[in-house]
Amino acid sequence: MMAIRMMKDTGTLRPMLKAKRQRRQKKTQDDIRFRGLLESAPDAIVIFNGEGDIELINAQTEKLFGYKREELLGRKVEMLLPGRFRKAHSRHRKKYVSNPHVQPIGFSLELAGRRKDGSEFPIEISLSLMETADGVFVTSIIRDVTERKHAEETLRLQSVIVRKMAEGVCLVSDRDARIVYANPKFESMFGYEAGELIGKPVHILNYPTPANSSETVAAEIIDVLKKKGEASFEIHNVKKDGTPFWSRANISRFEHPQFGTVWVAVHEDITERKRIEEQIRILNEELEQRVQRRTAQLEAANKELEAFSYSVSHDLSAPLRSIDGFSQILLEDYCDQLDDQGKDYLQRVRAATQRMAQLINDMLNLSRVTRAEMRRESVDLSTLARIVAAELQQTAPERRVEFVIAESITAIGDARLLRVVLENLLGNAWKFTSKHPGARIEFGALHPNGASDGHSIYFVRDDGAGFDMAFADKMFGVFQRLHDASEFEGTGIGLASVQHIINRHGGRVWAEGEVERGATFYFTL
Amino acid sequence: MSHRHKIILLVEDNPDDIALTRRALERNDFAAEVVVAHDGAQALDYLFATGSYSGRDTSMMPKVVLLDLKLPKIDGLEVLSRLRNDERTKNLPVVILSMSNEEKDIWRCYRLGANSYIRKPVDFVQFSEAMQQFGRYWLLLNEAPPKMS
Repeated sequence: MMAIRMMKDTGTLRPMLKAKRQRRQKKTQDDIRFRGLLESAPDAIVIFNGEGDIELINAQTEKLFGYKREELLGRKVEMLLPGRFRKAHSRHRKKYVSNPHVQPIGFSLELAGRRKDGSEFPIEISLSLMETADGVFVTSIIRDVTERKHAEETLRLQSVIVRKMAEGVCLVSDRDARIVYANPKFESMFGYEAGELIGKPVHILNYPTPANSSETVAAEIIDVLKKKGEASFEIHNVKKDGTPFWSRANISRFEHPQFGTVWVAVHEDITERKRIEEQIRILNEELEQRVQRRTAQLEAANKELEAFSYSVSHDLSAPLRSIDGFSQILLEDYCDQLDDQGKDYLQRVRAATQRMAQLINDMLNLSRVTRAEMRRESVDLSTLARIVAAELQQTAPERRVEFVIAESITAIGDARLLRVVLENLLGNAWKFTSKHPGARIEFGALHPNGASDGHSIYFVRDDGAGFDMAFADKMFGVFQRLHDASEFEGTGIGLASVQHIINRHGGRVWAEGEVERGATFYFTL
Repeated sequence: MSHRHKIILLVEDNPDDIALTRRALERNDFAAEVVVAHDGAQALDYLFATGSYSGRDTSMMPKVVLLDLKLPKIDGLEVLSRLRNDERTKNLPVVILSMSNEEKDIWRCYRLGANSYIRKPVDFVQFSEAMQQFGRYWLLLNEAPPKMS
């Protein structure tokens, strides 16, 4: 064909060939350029014809979908989609081919792509139509939006959290210290309408002090933040209606894509907590005061009691002395004018007054014991018992009494009061063995839990008159006696004193005995 | 001043106690005159020759003063204090005779310069013995402070 044309017109052959060659070269260059564009695109580009057959793909397509080029070319584009989308896409495709407009990326159909291995991933597709001499072609640009979807989800979640959370959150622009965002809780916490706080300077939320204006307070807080980057504060705030309240705020810096550098403040309303703290403080103060008042009252009462028992004992003693004295004088000066009966009566009068004097004395001692201040120290009970035993022996040196005192018994308590205890218990033992020619009085300790550890039981044991166990608990009452005065003298106060002292030490006292077989008094401290 | 004539000044307001004390003292032959002041004011009047005792020869001082603490008008401690603050009676032997055996009281008496402290027992027999010992010591045995001019 070309040869015939050439014989007819040799003049125009050369330029025609050149033009043709140039056209072909251009086409090749266009091709190369086109290819270059295609392969370098970050998204997957798939070009398919009006029937949906894939004509051209780029490397990104291979990467994204996991196929080799040969596996895709000539196949229907729907194979890149999961089964459930194929029908819809095929319809859409046909519609598009007949009514084309460029769909920009972003105008998306919620699509997913399907890889060779069957896994799916979210995609966005944008389409454009190409009309060529060889027919209509569709270029689709496919973007893997997995990461973006994740980011969107996270943001959505955080947004829900911020909106619903119990703490108030606000963002303050670092540039001009204005509020750029506040969550609903924050707004309600401060008593503002929705959106009312946006753009307002943050210091309107700070409660001014007598020394500082709210601007200064806010500025000081921002100062600290700029230095440390993040910090926690207890801030005195003010609501829209002027009510002050306290919140605990954790504030940190954040680079916001939209607002720039902001301070994120998370506020917890501690009004309730502060109120409770204040109440506790007040209660404690009141308690302190009450304790002080009570103590003062107690001390006053004690003093009164002291003065009272003091004067009572004196006022009672004086007449007793008179009674006793003049009775004695009668006996001395008028003894020849008195018969035995008369003398006997006077002796009884004297004996009665003596007993009363002793009673007054004992009562005075008991009241002194109840009022005494307790001092706690380590007391050597063995030595104390030995001293008391010696004193007892001296009152009647002719008596033969065997004192068995265990060694090295110590306890924690008030030395003076413990001495009173031993004087009473050993004194009782001494008294109630007086009818026996020989007597044995023992002092010791039992350690039921092994070595003396504060749970020791101390005891005073005698083999004297004893008592009937049926009356064991009555013994410790004031003025309680289990023997009448003719058998053994005594006022019955001693054991009451002992019980009182032991109780003050936090211990217990009890007794075991048998008539004529002795008695044992136990006590703990 | 005669060495023979001994005076005991008994300062006591209770008439029974006065009678009993007198008797206890006089039963023993101490050859002493018992002068009784019924309250603190009278005691001071006697010693300093003021009031009802003005004109008394103050060169005749008691050999010992038996002082009760509970007295009307001026009480025992006050009397003691005033005695010790006056040159004339600074060294005068004063024996406190009291019902109290409270440590506080005893301490205060000695602090103010009492020479001795005796507790008044209720039992008259004991009381008599105590007065006997008291007399023997303060009237017979003890040397009274001399008058230095």
